[in-house]
Amino acid sequence: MRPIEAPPTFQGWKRPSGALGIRRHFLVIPSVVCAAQAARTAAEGAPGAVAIEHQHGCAQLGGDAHLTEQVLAGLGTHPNVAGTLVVSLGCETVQGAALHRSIAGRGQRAEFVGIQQSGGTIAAIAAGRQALERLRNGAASDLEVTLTWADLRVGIEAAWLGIPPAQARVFSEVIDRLLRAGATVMQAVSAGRDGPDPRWQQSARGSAGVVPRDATALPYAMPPAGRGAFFMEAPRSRIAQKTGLAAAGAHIILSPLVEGLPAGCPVAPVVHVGIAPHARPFAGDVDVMLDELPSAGAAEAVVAALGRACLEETALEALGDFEMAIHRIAPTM
Amino acid sequence: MDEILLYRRDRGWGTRNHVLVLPLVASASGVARAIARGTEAIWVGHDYEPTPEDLPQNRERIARTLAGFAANPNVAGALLIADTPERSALLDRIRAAGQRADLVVVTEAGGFRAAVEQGRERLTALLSGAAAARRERAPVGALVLGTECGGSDALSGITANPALGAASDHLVDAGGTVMLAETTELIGAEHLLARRAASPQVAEEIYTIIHRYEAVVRAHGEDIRGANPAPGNIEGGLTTIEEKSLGAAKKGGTRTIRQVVEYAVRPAAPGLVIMDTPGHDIEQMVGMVAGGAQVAVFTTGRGTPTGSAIAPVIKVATNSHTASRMQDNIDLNAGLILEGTETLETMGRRIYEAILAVAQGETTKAERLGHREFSISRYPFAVLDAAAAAG
Amino acid sequence: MSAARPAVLLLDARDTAAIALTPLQPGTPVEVRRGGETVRVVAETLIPFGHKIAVAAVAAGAPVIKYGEVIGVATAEIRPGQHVHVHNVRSDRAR
Repeated sequence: MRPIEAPPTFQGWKRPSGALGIRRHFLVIPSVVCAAQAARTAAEGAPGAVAIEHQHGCAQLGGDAHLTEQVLAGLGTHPNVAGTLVVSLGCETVQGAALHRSIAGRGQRAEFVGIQQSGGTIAAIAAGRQALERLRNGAASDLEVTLTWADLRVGIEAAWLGIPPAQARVFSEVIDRLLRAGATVMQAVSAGRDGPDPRWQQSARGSAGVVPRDATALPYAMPPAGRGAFFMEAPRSRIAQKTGLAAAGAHIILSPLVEGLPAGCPVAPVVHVGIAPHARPFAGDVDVMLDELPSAGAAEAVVAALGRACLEETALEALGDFEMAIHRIAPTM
Repeated sequence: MDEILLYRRDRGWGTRNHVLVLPLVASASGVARAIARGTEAIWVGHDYEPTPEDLPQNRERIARTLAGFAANPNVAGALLIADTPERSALLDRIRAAGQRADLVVVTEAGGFRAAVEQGRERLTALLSGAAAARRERAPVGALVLGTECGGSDALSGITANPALGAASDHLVDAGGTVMLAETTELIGAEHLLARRAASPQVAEEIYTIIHRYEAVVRAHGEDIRGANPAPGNIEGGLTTIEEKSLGAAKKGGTRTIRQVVEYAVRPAAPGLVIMDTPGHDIEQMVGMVAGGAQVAVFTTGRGTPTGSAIAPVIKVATNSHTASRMQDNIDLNAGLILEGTETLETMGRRIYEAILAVAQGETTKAERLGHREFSISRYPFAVLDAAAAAG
Repeated sequence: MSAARPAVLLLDARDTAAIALTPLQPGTPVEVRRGGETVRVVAETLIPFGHKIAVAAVAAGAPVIKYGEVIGVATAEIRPGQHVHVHNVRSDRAR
């Protein structure tokens, strides 16, 4: 394996909390599904504003409501986010005012708008637009910094754990390269009935070089304390995995396209590696296509694609395309 | 008024003439959005992704919700967006229901851009087909009304819900169908409903769906308070789920309960029916619309703006404070009952007349503001099934 | 008939609490017809709009009645005039 060349650098920003990010998103978070329309409309046309959508925030039992709040707070305090606006309805289980306080309490630039408090959605949207402008003005003072891999967290979806060994080896090598470069790697591992996917242990054992065999376990959507290799317990849903990795602070997400369609993430650029043969129709949509017999430089190409995503907007980001899903641990009431 | 003007379809009568772009899986939402952008078509998004661990009951529940939504008579034509060809079974199901529908399979189309192009072509054909539709004279009994309460307060059971109940009675008497739902918010009132069941079997089904929800809550070992009643309900004076339910049940009026249906299932015959849905506002509305509701009345105490992408939702406030503060989102004010300027009967009449006017084309505030909330209820009984399987 | 709107609403003669149709400041006297008689209570603390004020004593563990139906169980003794809500009533269902 060729040694890594001079470490690449990425332009980033230092947030008021001290976090370092590679994007300047202004995130609009509805604390409940009923506030999503107002959140979306407030974000429309506002430069850099990204409104997320989810189906929850109401009629959720205790632990499940807490998890939703944790995910939303994680997204709101994400290092790629320069400022967060929480839009609340007012009566919901996941209380918007508390979410706002939680996000602001972690040092993030944050604003709050309540629909019931404002007297309806039209007033709330107007207040939201003003709040976004205040966030933009505040963020102008964020320090521009130069980042290296050592400053970044890479989230990786679980799907590559089940692909043929020839292609899976590429992902093991990508993880090795990232860890050697000092990056923090969070590998989503979907749990079956009997615990985390056992293929994770097999893959970790089989890869050469730095092996994340001793990777630390992370609960879903929980940011890691410190650097290194982590595996995150996650559901099978790829979109919920992306959301969990993002809530844990992944700056970029590596998505093996083994089934289904490419999908972006609201706060972190997603780099799609198409796994042939399934991903062949998406040759024009993915960032790297992995043949059934990958070429020698495949892992390097993937790392380079990750680096490019740190530097510039991806095609999916330009389309404004992203999906979100929050893992549920209890049914709706 | 015995006749109103509605759109005639093979599968019933519609109050609207929408063309719908519907992603069958969450990851197809981006394609759906891109296809619908700039056109008169309506699209909805959701977060459902099939996984191998899906319970069969869940797969069926979700499939019939998507199919029922796309086949609702308010929809003139539906364009479905799928990831893989296996989903085409849903297209067949929707067509078999008498709906005009088409499908884009993104992997077959050759990627995102190709899928959007193909989708736009197919959408244009559906839009042309829809443009030819005209309203015709239809019986009032063709209406299927969804009833809902959200952001409830203590006044919900005193003003808006009983007034809606009076309107429900009018519609049932005229031969129409009224759906009473949100099973969680019937816990504590089920004995009052069971008394009005058309048969002992219907009465038993009422008890079954309510006890099922209670068992789910117990199995999770959590306090339902906070989920239901929600913090806003509690601030508004509702103390327990029983209190909330006794007020919520009034939405259904006083007529005989003909049938209990599962989530997103079409009632077999007109009359008052109970549909098993969660109290979650959006999941409930989607279930009723997927079951054929063409119009809804939604009462609210604290105020909520939500609607439905394909069915007009009439918002009725329980009190004048909310009606005036949130007038951008509220259509009618049942708080006038407390002021003394309306009675339950006159307010019930007002709501009934609004249902007929809205069914015939008058728009509601939620429609004008473009609300298109969409969320599918998952089968929540995995916990019970696992316990049962363990024996 | 009085020109002023009544301060409270009692839905059923069996109810142990009435609903405040206007916020009741502490010390406000309230009068309501319950069955054949007139009940007089004094608001012990602030009763917000829509909230319940006890019009009868309820022993701890005894049912609280509204709409003529059980809406929960008193978790402490409730005196007439007291605010009846989550601090002294719990649900009897889904637990």
